[in-house]
Amino acid sequence: MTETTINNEQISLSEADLQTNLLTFLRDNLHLTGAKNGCGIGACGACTVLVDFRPVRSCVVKVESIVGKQVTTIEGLENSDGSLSPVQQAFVDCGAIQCGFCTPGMVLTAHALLLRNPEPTESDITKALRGNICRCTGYRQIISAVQQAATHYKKKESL
Amino acid sequence: MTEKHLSGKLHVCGASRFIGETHLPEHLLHIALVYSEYAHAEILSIDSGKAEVVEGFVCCLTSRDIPGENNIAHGNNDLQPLLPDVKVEYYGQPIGVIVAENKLSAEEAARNIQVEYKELEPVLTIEEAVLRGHFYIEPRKIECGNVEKGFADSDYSLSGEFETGAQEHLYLETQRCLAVPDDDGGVTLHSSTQSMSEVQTVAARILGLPTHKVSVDVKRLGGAFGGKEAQATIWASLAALAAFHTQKPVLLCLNRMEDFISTGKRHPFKNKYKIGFNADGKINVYQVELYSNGGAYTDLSIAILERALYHSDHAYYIPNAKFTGYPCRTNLPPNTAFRGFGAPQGIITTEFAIQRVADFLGLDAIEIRKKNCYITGQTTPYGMEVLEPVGREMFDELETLSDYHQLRHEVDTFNKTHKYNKQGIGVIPGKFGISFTAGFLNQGSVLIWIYTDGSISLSHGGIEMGQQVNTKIAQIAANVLGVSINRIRIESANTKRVGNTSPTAASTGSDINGYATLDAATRLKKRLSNQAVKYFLQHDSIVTFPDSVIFRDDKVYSDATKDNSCSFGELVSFAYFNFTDLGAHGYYFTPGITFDHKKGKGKPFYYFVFGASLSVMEIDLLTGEYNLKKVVIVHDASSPLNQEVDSGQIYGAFAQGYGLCTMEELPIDQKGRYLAVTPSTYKIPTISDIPDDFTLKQVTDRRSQASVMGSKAVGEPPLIYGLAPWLAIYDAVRSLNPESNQINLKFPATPEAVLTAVNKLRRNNDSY
Repeated sequence: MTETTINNEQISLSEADLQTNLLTFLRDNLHLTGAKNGCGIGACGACTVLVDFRPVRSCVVKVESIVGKQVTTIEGLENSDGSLSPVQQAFVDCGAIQCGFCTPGMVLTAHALLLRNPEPTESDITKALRGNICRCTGYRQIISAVQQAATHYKKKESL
Repeated sequence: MTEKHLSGKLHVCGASRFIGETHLPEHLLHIALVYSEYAHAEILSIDSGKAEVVEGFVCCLTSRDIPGENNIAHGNNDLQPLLPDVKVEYYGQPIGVIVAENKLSAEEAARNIQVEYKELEPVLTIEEAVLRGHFYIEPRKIECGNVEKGFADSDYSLSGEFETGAQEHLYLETQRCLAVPDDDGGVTLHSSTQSMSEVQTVAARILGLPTHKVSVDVKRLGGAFGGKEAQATIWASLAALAAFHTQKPVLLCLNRMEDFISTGKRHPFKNKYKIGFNADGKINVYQVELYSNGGAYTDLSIAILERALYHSDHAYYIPNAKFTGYPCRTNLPPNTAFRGFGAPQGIITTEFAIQRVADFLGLDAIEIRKKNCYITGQTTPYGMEVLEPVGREMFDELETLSDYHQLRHEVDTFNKTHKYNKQGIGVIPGKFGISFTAGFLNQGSVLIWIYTDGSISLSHGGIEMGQQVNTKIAQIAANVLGVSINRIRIESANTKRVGNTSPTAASTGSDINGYATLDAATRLKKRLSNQAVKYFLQHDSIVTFPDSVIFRDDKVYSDATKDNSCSFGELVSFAYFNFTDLGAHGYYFTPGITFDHKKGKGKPFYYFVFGASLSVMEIDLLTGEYNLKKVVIVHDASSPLNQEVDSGQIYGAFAQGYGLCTMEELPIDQKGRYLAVTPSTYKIPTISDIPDDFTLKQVTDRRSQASVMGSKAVGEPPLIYGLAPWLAIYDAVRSLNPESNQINLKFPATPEAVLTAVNKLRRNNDSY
């Protein structure tokens, strides 16, 4: 039996699962609907999940690509006490959310950026997020949210 | 008030549900559609034989299976079949519905449907439609003063043509509908629509049912921007038809490519203008003919053309004017509403004409614009007095904030010292009319229930699509009843609770539904105040009066001394046990909206939203690529309900306008097929297209010409600010040869278009 870890939970995968599209598997088999199907060709970022803490377009990979890896979906990002993680909180605080359809992918991509670079410049932020399209916000408040969240990642590092 | 997004926490946790994400019913069936392969053709036959053998196939529905009237047209102007029986009018028009047990089977079966066509010649462009006289209606006209005399009295005149392109909405959530049959022969539709009552009425018409047998429920949309106003109806009706025939729940969800191919866009326009002016820059006369490409069915084309006409004066007083509009019928998917609704296409033409006036006279374009701005006492060409015109005030603030004259100097210096890069400044004001121009749509209603524990359920006619109408409505109710916003649950929009709703469109969602909320909440407050008088007499032996009772911070006070109080919940419970109606319906209509189309005169708007903005662009002369360097926006917000939400609307609208005038291009081939059908070939602004140097100032002086609680609508007006980058690119190109009147910059100004304009100018300009 082949296994993967999704949101800290061990999941056994069947042969049929392995050939399934990752986004379909998450949404239809596991009912994790936070990752969205925005375009189906990896061009919008709405389906982003983290595989070993790196953003991946789940609509263009198969489940076999996550065998033995750690997957984080938006449903797994909250703190263990159920409170919002710093990026999530910052998106709420900064008004960086409108329709919410791109939000999960955007939040996860920002989280991945801050994990590897807790002191991003504005240009680091825009480079990291430019594959995630948002049609509502015009992005200014998203940039502010990532900057606000960064202060928490910095603190965490210095501890 | 700085309330946060009501669903913000759900969205950041991925817990908010869009259509098709709730725990889906058992025996759910799926739809795949058969689409027309021609822009214009006769259907000779449809053979489903090879589809029927696909495992999981349930049925194939065509026009013959429609029990009611095969017409989904918006309004009474046209006939638009849900499924055409003899003739297809655009490439990608649905002609058959395949229902199957799973999506893959449905798709396979749809591919196996064999359709025979007789191809007919399509009409695709405005030019072809004009040649053949394919117009939806007689031309619409607005006139004032004396145009001929205006030109005769002018020192100079300039004329030309201006074309604008189509724009895809690219809402992140594609069109979709979950249809569930009811036990009485009716159907419940969970539709991604901005216009639930239209979906309800049309689906009932298709099924041959009275309207009350169809109910529509809308929790939230993943973006819409006008693209789900008239254009959600077809998908909802197709799903309804399938649920009606199978008596099982059915899901129809377009993939991105289908959505791109089959849905209408922002109308392309081709406009012919002539402007007359004096040496001092005063505009005497402006004449413009607007031609819009409406696509294969009327949809909202006429209202869109009207709004383009009403905005052809833009922010300027024009004593002599003649605006004429022609909506053209072609074989493209029916073009439709898109944020701005025709206004941007009219406005950019006027702004370009004014830019040319400034260039011709060698004056700064901002001076010409200020000189001609509406001032108190002036009326528009359609005879509406412009009250509280604050255009000049907006410009003054813009000049101060941007340090305009210094900025101009810096840009000029940059251009003198850089050979392969040039910068330009674009300035554009805002004056956007608020109200549905179809006057009867300016009405809203709500239903509020206060439950006996003091929690509140509120249903309103607006659709939540990211603009946070729900947050604003909750704020209004909370404010009236003196309770915290957490006490209020905004329900899904549902035709069973709020009927005969207007589309959530024309930027009016918060205005009309907000006023209706104010009405219902005030009724409830009155009833509760009467009960509070009794309560304080019984409990505290205090004599007070209904008007003295104060509702604040989830408490109710007997009077201003605040000596005696009870909790809101306690009063509600008391009121219930004393036989008080704790439910209220609220209603509002916008007063005074009239228009006489024959005369071209009236008052189509309740008020205007003003503003001014500036963009600085830098272009690369070798590649045509560009960079938005700086944006300054001054926006007339009056007294915003939620300033942070409004900021988001302004940033978002700017980005859409920026995309419209620069990178968003939708070429079509000779067969009438869109060539850009995914986000990989159709570029919209990404986060890296938005500059660091972005200043937004909302002017919050409360205006008398405003809406609910002194607020002004904010959805569409700021899109116009996003057109300034086009004018900035034009200015940058023009810096190569300020004397030239041969600058031919297309709209949208893609890098290719910029390079073409630059190269053309270079050929004509040896000194470069």
